[in-house]
Amino acid sequence: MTAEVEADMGEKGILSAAQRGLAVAVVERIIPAEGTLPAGGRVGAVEAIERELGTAPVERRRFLDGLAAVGITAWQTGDAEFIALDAAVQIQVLQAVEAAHPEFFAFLVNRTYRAYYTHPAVLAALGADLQPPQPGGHTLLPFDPSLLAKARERGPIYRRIGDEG
Amino acid sequence: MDTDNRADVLVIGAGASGAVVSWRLASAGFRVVCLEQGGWIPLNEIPTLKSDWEVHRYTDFSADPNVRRRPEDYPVENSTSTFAPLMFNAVGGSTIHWTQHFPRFHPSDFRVRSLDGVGDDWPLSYSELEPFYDWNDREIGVSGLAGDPAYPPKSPRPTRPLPLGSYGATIGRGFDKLGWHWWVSDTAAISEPYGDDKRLPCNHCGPCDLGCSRGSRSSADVTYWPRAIRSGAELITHARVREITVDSRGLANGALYYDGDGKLQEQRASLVILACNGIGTPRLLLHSRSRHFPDGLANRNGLVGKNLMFHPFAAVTGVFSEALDSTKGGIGSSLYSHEFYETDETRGFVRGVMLQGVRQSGPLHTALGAFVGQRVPWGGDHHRVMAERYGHLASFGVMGEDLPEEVNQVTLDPSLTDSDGIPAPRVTYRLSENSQRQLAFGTARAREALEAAGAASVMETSPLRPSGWHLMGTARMGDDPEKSVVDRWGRSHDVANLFVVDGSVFVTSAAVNPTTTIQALALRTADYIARNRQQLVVNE
Repeated sequence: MTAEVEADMGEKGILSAAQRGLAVAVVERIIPAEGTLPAGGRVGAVEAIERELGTAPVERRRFLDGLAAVGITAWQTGDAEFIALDAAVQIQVLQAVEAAHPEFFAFLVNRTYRAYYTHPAVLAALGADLQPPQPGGHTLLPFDPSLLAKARERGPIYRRIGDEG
Repeated sequence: MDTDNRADVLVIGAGASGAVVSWRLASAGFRVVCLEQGGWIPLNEIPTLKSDWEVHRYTDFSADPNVRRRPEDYPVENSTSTFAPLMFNAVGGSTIHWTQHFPRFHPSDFRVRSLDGVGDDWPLSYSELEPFYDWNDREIGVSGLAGDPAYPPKSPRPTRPLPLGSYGATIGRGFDKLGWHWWVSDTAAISEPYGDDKRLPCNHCGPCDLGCSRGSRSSADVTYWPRAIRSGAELITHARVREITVDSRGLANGALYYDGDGKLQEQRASLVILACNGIGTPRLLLHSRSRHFPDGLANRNGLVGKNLMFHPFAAVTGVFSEALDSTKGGIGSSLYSHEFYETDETRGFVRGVMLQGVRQSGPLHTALGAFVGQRVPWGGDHHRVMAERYGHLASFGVMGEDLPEEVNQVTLDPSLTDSDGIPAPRVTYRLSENSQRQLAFGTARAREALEAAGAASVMETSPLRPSGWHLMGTARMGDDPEKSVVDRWGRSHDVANLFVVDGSVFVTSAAVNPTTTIQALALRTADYIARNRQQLVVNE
């Protein structure tokens, strides 16, 4: 990491402002906005990744290398920064990075999904429960024994060995 | 070291089987001490009470100890295993993350050598075990419905069946259309108030694998343990056993363990019972080397750790056009089919498969792949595919009967250790040709059943690597001391006052979840010890 990049790092100390901007742009392509569903970059995914990387040096190195690969691939593919590319080219870039750096990309997608699908705005848009499973639970109608009528009709099907008690 | 604290019985491991024997023997008047490397998981700290509950499945509540990496966990070297072994280290053991599907073995499962010429027969029969199945069901509280035609008649289930919802009705219609057997599951959870423990009935929250904050699930921490402690059993948590010790006669006389502060302690006992699961038990036996047992305790015939069985396992998921209520209700225990349970030689393999109904979990689990582990794609199609899947999935676990093979085994890793320096287990396991054929057949049948139920599309993953829930066979039971590690009562052939009560003792695996059989066997062993106290509790 160069001194220039280090000087550019924000108070959180994991990503520089430029890296953070790139990460947000990538995450917004991983989960784009649609209807009432926000884009991945709007639900705190990058911030969550930064928090996790703060205590995981191996993953931090891999993540920074992967992010750098996104930047390099963007220039190689579209002759511009990733953020300046149109959506179709951004996807091309990310597909290339996914193939070349599968562990980095799997981590990025996984953590994006984690942040996204635990965010109240996303859960509300999906129609999912905003409350955790407990203590509320769910209501289901009692078991209906008539469901098993056909299974009963066949009679015993177990293998008889003379030791059935 | 504390050496002035001799117990009648030392139980190592406080999970499904350790809890059973601790309760039974303490209530019979034995002085019982149990050492457990984990701690209590308080019900008010269960992930399902938290807004980020789904994330815990992939972090501190993962079923995989190599992912979870809590201080009490030990690593498992599994790079040469088809399946990743799963377990939980706590009071209650793996019943803490258990989805409590509770089917019994069939009578034929105890006779596979005689009937099908493979594996070995058990040294006991279904009818011998049946009273202990019933006893265990009554003690812990089980929901279900007697009358399943795939089994001999069973006693009435202690509580009524749990509801199946539109998910169950849909899947059931598929089976009925095909004319295949299905039935509502026996579930180790209560559907109505039961017993004197004032546990609340299940409220169908769904993700049982993340713990049950209501205590409705009949896990060992809320069933046997409170009663064992009331009966006088002493449970020492955060106690990681390093080795079982032996006296000059080669009898077990206790164990050395690291306490929560990392200090080495000694617990003396007249009788030792191992209940550490099918990986932890051989690990500890192999590490308990002495002049009498240079290759590991109870291992004179070299069979400790060998014959490891999981269950050959695949996941098959249907995507339905209509919304199902499959996020409501216990994820892993709802219904099953034993249509293909027994050998039919025209299928090209021996023994059979169970199709186990599996519900759907939350949005994050769905996005990350749901039961089949096939992630929703990122990018432009993400929302469309997510909308197709969330609230629209129903799955089957395809579980085959594993057969014992000595090449599948647990050994001690030469370099990897836990945080106390105890060698980690190394798991070597590969699917046999027979198992592969079981899974190919079973996944095809599961697909057929889902399509008959109306699935618009079907996904499958076979084998499913993170499915090593069932750990069996590594200290197998038998009458012949040359071919088994313990006798018909779980007693070591080599060490007269050493017993094993976890899944290690299984001779064969059947094609059903093992815990009800583990607990019934443990209850039977404890009952045997209680009835033979004078002969078995050896005093120095």
